[in-house]
Amino acid sequence: MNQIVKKDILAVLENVLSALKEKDYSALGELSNHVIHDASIFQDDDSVSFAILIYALSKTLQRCVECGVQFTKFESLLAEAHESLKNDSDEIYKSKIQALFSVIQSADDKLKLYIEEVIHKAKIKKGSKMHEHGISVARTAEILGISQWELMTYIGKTWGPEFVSDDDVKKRIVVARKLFV
Amino acid sequence: MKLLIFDAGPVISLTTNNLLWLLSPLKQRFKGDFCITEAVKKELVDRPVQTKKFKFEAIQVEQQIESKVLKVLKQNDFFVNGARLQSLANNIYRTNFGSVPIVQRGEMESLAATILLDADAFVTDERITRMVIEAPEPLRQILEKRLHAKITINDDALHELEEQTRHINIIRSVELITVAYEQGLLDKFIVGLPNARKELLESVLWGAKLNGCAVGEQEINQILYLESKRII
Repeated sequence: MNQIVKKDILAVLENVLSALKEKDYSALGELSNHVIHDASIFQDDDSVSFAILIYALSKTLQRCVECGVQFTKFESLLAEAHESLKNDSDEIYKSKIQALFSVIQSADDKLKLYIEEVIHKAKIKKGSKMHEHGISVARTAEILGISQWELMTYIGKTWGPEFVSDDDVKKRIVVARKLFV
Repeated sequence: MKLLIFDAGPVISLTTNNLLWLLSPLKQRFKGDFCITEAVKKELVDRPVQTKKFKFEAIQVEQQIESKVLKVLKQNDFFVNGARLQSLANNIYRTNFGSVPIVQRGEMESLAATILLDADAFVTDERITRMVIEAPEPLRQILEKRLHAKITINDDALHELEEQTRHINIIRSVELITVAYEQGLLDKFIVGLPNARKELLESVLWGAKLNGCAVGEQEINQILYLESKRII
């Protein structure tokens, strides 16, 4: 694993564990964005899957609270993931992350969350963040394994471009007009 | 032969706004071919037709292909040249840790087709692709701000990309929609509301934005103003 990604995941994991202790589940959504910089720069499986996991976890835990269901497995697995990463046991860390995804999926029976949908939506949400960071829709969709159809319809409703030149608007209309005379 | 090369984005924007039918009358007025690459067809038809969510949209695009409104380009050169363009674009922006890959092969194949076939324009709704070609420095600033990292530009890669893309025109789905509006293709939707024409144009431009075309509110307002005055 890339050492910068490892350092950042460790820092976020510590904050995640603190948030879980304080039962501040909504904080997890924001924490999932902390590795988006890495996911955008390195576009590696580790930072991408970690961002998706933490966001999906935040949604699942919020649903647990609403339904009065307790899930204690998350905390111990996250602590084990943290410990293994700290000890440079990357393969064990990856197995813990896989186990966490499985636990989220097993929550489906109790929560009726349609968990596939939760993980899928987490991908779209994190994809929108990566696009905000300057990665094209097509490239982002490719990294996350989602379709451009889904990403475009989500991005359109959440975000607008930052760079606008008045001349560009006029110029492009003039170009288009000339094509169709 | 006149040619327009479409990336996936504009076709997605038009389809999700129920405006895909505009392609046929626009093509008649254009008097040339509307083309997509095989990679774009995969994204527009082959993949979504396997899913439930965008299956009907994929069928609508396939119908445009079968009725020859959209032509699928099959040449292999796009693949090779697309790879080269992808490599250039993905090596322009550098952090201390290496280059930041910002674009995907499929969109660069469309760009390669535009260049190789000397097409009249490349139709893309993708902000990042447009910016790397037309406004690389503002894109550098966005990357630097968002990634919280010092971003430098690899001048060699940028100059080569600029050299290859110097002569291409880029338009978006909003420009196609605006021209369609100007040419009366949307007149059947002029209803008995106050300011019906303006409301119609505003509705279709916002529809395109909300379905992923990278156009800002300020740009939409400017198009509405320009169309109301017809000053360009």
